[in-house]
Amino acid sequence: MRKYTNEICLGLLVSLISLSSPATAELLIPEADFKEKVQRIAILPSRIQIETSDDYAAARRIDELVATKLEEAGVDIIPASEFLEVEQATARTMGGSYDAFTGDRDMAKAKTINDLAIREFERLHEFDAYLIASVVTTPSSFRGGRARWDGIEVKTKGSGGDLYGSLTASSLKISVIDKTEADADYMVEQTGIQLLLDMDGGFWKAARFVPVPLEERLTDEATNVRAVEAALAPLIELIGTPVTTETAATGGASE
Amino acid sequence: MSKQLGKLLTASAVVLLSACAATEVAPLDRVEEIPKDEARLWERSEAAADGIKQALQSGDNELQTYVDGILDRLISSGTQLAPERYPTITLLNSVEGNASAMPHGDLFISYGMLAQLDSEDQLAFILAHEVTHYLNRHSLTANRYATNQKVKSFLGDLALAAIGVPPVSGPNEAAWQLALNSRYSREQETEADLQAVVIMRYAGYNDSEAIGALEKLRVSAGEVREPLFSTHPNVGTRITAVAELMEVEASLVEHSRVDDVYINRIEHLLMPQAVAMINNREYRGASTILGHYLRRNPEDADALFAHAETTRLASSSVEASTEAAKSYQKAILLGDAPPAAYRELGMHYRLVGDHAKARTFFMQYLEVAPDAIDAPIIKVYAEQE
Repeated sequence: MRKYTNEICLGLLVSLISLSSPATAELLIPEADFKEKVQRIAILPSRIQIETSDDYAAARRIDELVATKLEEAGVDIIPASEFLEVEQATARTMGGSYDAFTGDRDMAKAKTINDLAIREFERLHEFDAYLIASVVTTPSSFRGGRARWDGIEVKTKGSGGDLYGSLTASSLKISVIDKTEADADYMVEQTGIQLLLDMDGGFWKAARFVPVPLEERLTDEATNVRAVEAALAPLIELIGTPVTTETAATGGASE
Repeated sequence: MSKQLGKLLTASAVVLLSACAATEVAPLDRVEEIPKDEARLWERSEAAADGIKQALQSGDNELQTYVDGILDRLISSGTQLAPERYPTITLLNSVEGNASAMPHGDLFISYGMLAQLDSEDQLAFILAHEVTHYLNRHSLTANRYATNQKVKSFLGDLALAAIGVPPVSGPNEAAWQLALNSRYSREQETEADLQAVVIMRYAGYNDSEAIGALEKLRVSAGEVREPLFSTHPNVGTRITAVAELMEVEASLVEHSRVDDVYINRIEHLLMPQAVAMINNREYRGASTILGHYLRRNPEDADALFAHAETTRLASSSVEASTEAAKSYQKAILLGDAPPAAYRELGMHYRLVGDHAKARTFFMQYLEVAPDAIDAPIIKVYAEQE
């Protein structure tokens, strides 16, 4: 048995490497440049690109979690609420972006409001980069009752029997982009959040796809916190200020 | 048992490795007979090229003749190709700045690429680069390499299986294969750059414009990094390699000399290409093209306005705003500027804190465009200043 130990260990290692689905993280400029260029980050309102029962509430919750996590890590930020304030003031002055008669959104007006809000926000605040958090759809790899994507693995409701393939899932994508240069991305990180399409049955009953109800999407606090922490980890590692024991103690005492 | 397995594996490896095709091939101008796998590749690529031509071929015969002439000069002076194997070039009505070579010798170049170049010398470099891909049979090499990798990967899997290790599969396998193929392809790109310099020299073109052409690619790509999984190396790396060949310091080479004869040839492409690129949010490329157009039409208010817009949209820095303001101002002085030029001047002066001027231009904007979609907020801005 002992003579197979090395092979077994190597086999397990290769299996783990080949089966794990790494989070998609990419630093698009040299680390030193990033540290030099990105001192203060403005967080733009989160974009929810999946269907939920309340997109606005979900976006604000992600905004809050992102801001809190970055502040805790000592990153200098302007929270998304600041941009929302400017955007809402611009929209109010413009009479909103919805047609009063049809109720339809006037896309030209919405774009104008967004463009003007960004310009006003940049005029009012000093910062180096934007951070955009988006909740996006992505495929997960499903087999044997487990789904894997963007660095996470979750158990499905049922094993799915012999079925394997892909289940639609959601991920949190964090992009850090240059403030002034159009489309100059500094960093992209994507971490799995939760399945949007689950697999039920497979053993006692027939396997079937089950959409995750809208009310259950982005509403579980622990899931959201885990996703935000994982998605922000590379950024915090780069520019976060490590909390010293003394600071931690002081912080604890003041609470 | 394990000895037998070892023999079986060794025998399989020998058989399979012997099936691997050579990836070092002679250039096409030194080959008489086309091997079967290359003939099959050509057949497939001819069909693909026909599809591209049907969808995108431009009908600009005059420009086509001009580009044909440049290609002919490069081939006849810089290669030993037999006339029946001369490549052909097709202009594509596409805004994407792109040039490509099909394995059988159909070359393509887009209007978007032609419009961004400064001179015939730069165009000669781009064409010579594509000619090199064809001449050095890069597609065949890449094709054989990919096939060989599959065989070697299979052998590797067999060997791992013998000790109980499962093969690398799924996304990791795809990433690994891409990494292997990309590294190989980057070598071909560098080779194509270097040989293109030699070909253009033989044909009597100014080789320092090879660096100019690569700088254009850098601007349109807007790149800042060496991508790990990319078929083309970083443009900066390519510029350094070309400069080394020329035995010069890249930063000291004078390039990007605008050739008025060339610009005259492509002038009719410039405004439509610039507008399409602005709509695609490719502001730097559009800015270059508008610069070319304005050389010949310095008093075109629409072009000045568009140039200012590309400058402003490419960067929201104060410097860019100041640069854009000059063009807005000039467009207004010409008396035919779009109303938005007044608004943008107001926005510029608001940004730099010149309240009086900001208010003046905002008021002028509201006067010429009282029903503009953004009139309510501009009115508020004017009142704030």
